[in-house]
Formats: sequence, structure tokens, C-alpha cells
Amino acid sequence: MIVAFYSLMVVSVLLYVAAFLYETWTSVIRLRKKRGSEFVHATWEITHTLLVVTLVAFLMTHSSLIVDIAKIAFIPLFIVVFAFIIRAALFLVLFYAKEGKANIGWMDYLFAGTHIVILLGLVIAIIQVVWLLLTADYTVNTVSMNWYMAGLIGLLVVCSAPLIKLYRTKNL
Amino acid sequence: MNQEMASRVLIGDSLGFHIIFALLSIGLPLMMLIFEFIAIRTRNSKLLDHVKGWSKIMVILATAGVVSGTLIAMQFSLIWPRFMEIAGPVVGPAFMFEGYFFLLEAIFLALYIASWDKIKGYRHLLIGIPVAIGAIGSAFVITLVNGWMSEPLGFTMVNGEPTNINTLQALFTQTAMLKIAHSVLAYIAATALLMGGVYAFFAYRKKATAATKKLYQTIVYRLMIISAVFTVGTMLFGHASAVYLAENEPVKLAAFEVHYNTGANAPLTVGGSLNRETNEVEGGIQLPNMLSYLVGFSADTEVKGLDTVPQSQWPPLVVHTMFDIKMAAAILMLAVPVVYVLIVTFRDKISWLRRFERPSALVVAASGLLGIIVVELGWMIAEIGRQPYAIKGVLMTIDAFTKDNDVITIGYLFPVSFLILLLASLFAVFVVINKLKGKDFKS
Repeated sequence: MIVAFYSLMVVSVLLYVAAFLYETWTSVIRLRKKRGSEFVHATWEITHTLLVVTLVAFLMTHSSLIVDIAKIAFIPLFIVVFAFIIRAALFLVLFYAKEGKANIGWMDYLFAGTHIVILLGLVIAIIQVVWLLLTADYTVNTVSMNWYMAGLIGLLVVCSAPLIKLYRTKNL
Repeated sequence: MNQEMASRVLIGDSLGFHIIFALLSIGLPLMMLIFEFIAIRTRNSKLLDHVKGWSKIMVILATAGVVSGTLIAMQFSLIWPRFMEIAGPVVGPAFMFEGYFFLLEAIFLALYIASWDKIKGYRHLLIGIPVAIGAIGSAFVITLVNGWMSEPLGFTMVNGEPTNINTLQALFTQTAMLKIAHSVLAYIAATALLMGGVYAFFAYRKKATAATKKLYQTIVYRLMIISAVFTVGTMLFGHASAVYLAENEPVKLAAFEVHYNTGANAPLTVGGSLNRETNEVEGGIQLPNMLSYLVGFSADTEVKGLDTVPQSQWPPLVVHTMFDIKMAAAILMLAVPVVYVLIVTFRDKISWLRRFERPSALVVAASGLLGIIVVELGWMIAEIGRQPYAIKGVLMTIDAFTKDNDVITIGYLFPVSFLILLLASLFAVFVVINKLKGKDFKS
């Protein structure tokens, strides 16, 4: 059961990593264009939600470790969240308020920069947490694991096809 | 500011910002479905254009909502780890399913937006249904957690750890069911009122063409009916919640009403405050027997007071003032749409009503934010009313936050960044609204 759960989490993490790396790449290459309108639009929060779902699944099943995780990963995770907020604000201004009409400016560079900060922050936090998993004495909370797995499997089944379609074409 | 206050302020700010985006993200999909249905039935392409504009606003709100929600999830883990140590094993599935519902909403919202020009009619409307299900579903499950915090069932604490866990019993409490009904209906009412307020502002402008006036006024009329109906529902469940509190959380109700002496013939106090030295209410208006009537439909109903517990167990009594303001705003929230709807409905039969139509529309426009104020106050009252507990009877708030990290320094960043997010969202929404009305008004 635990192995199956970790396997499912790895799948959702990999989906998130692939989508986020694509968004990071897009946020940087659009800086080379004179007018920056290219980006993944309404799928933005789908990617983000995959991260949240995986994070919550991990925290709920490793609740005995939360106090230790809070001690070691506090700074990088708070920097990541701060960057998420700034990134969201810039996303709304660049792609909804300005609709990508303006020439590339400081906001576009800052937008790309937040992706880099998030990437670095997440990598640092993940390294710290993995180290904790390998060295700490803890028990995995399996009480509700069947709920998580059923929900995650169902969701991945329902969402994979539309997700792939949306990322490939941006439109139907 | 100390670590405790910084932790409380930070989570309070975050939740206060998040609920604005969340409530509109819950109400707006339902409005989109209702008006898309009307537009298809009446073959009104102009109305459909407006629904399309609302769907863009929905993406803006969802973007801001998911980010603020992520911050809250992280805050619970990083700043309130002791709370999560207990809540995780017991009600963790609710946190998980909130994410699942939101993912469902996000994916189908993306499909809904992307398919406007490619899929027409009722088939397009069907794509919007999972958006509404996802939005209401996520509100449902996260409010289950909040209900559990006030009525913590389904586990036993042994040596500081939750054991004998029964997740279903923990989640589906009567408190949770009442909170969900009361809050979700309020979100829908608040959304309809805000949207109606915006449209009312433009509906009676001189620059509007005749067709525009007719369209906007029809939208306002329908939104006011929706707002009024859902406000009535909210009030009914609010009353049911108060009756339930009287039995199960009497100290909370006593704090709302600054009711000190346990007994029958309990008065309802509007305004005023409780003198902690004398335990007497000072100022305000006392309505004799009213609290007993409200709770048990009889003046003989005994209402437990604050005298049942020591003062250290009282919630902050500021909740009484907040509750009074909330009730006043809720009454206006019902009165304003009802008056407007009555005027518009009967203006042809009673001609003198016509002179009040524009003023009542202006009042609707001015009242747009009332629903949001009511929801904010409602949640503040609920959370402050549960103090001094994070999980009632199980975990004091003072024991729930981290002492290992410096929240004070980092804490200042977040209200500022939320303000930036709120301003960016409003800016984007105004641009969408301007584009939407651009074609409808003479230049």
C-alpha cells in the first residue's frame, strides 16, 4: 500500500515537474520576443494545483514529521510561496490586464525570475525533506491512504487526457 | 509583536484575503451556468458575450485563489505544525479532496474557456457543470475541517497523539453541515449581489444605448432575485446554527450575545458591551426575552451564559460587536434586492414606482460589497468565537503555533504581497469589465 502510494505521488510530482519546467522555459524564451504574449494560460493553475495536491498528500501521510519539516525547510518554502504570489500577480497583469500587448519590460523579466526562484526554492526544500525522510525515525500515517489513492487515481485518469490536450494545443 | 500574535495575524490576513477570491470563485460558476442557460434559451448573443467575459474573470479569481490557498496550506504546516500533527491523521482526506475538487474545477474551467468558439449551445454549458461542482465541492470539504475544529469527534487523544481514528465520524458533524449550508449559500448570495451592483452601476447611465439598458437591467433584476433567495436560505441556516450553538457551544453563543447570566427569559442585546468587573451589559438596547425566543421559541427557554466557564475560557467579546454589524449588513443584504425587485416587477402596474427605480438601482450599486463584508465578518466571528481553542477542547491556539522559526520578520512580507495580488486581480478584472461594456456604450 505504501509503495503504491509513493509511486502515485512520484507520478503526480513528475507531471508537475514537467509542466512547471515547460512554463519556466516559456517564461524565459518569451523575453527574446519583441512582444511577449506567449504563455500557457488557463492551464497555469492546473499545474499549480498538481503541486498542492501532492504536497498535501505528503503532509497528511507524514504528519508526525511536520514539526521537523517546519524547522528545516521554513525559509526556502516561504521564499517559494512569496515568489508564487508575485508570479500570480504578474501573470494577471501581463496576460489579462495588458493581454501581452506591451513590449517586454521589467515585469516580464521579474515574471521569468520568479519561476527560477520557485525552482531553486523547491529543489532546496525537497533535498532537505528527502534527507529528513532518510535519517529521521517516523511512521507513515496509513489511516486514510486508501482515500488518497482512490482520489488521486481517479483524478489522474479524468485529468490526463484534457491536460495533455490543453498543453499541446493551448486551445481545443 | 510577539511570535504568537505574528502567527495569528499572518493566518488571519491570509484567510481574510483568500475568502474573497474563494467566495467569488464559488458563486461565479453558478451564475455563469444560469445565465448561459438563459442566453441559449432566449438566443441572446449579447448575454452570451457577457457570460464569456465572466468566465475570464473566473480564471483571474481562480488564479488568485489557488495561490492564496497554497500559502494557507503551507502556513498550516510551517507555522501551525502542532495543529497539523493532530488534524492530518484525523481529517487529512478533507484537505486532499479539496485539492482534488479544485483540480477538477481548474481543468474544466480551462476547457470551458478554450471551447467558447468551438463548442456551442448546451454542450458548452455541460462543460461548465464540473466547474461549479469542483468549486462547491472544495468549499464543502474544507468547511468539513472547520466544522471538526469546533466539534472534534472521531478520535481519542492518547499521549498527545490522535488514535482510534474514524474519519467519517470526524468529518460529517452537525456543526460542519450547518456551517457548509450557511456559508455556501452566503457565497452565492454575495456573488450575485456584487455582480448585480456592478451591472446596476452601468445599467442606468445616460450613455447606455436602449438595448444595453434593457440587457443590463434584466441582468440586475435576475441577479437580485438570486441574491435575495440565497440570502433567505443563508439566514434560515444561520438561525439553525444559533439554535445548535445554544445546545452544543453555549459559550460561543453567549459571547456573540454578551449574555452572562444563565437562565430563562434571556434578553437579546443589540450593541453595548459587557463590563468584565461587574458582568453587566453597558450601553446597547436589550430586547426582553428575545434570545430565549430565538433559541427555543419560548421565553422559558434556558440560555446558558458566560457564567458557566471562567473568564479565561471566554472568546474575545469583540465578537458581539462584529455579530451586530454582520446582522445589520445581512438585513440590508436582503432588503436592498427585495426592494429593487418589487419596484421593477410592479412599476408598470403602479406608475409612481418608476421614480424610485433609478435610486433603488443606485442603492444596489452601492450595496455590492455588502455580501463580502458579511462573509468576512462571519468567518472572523466563527474563528474568534472558537478561541482560546484551535481545536475545541483538544488544542489551545497558544500551543498550536511554531516556536522554532522567526515568523515575525517573514510575517510582514505576506500582507504586502497579498495586497499586491489583490490589486493585480482588481486591475485585471477592471480591464475585462471595460472591454465587456466597451461595445455597449456610446463613445
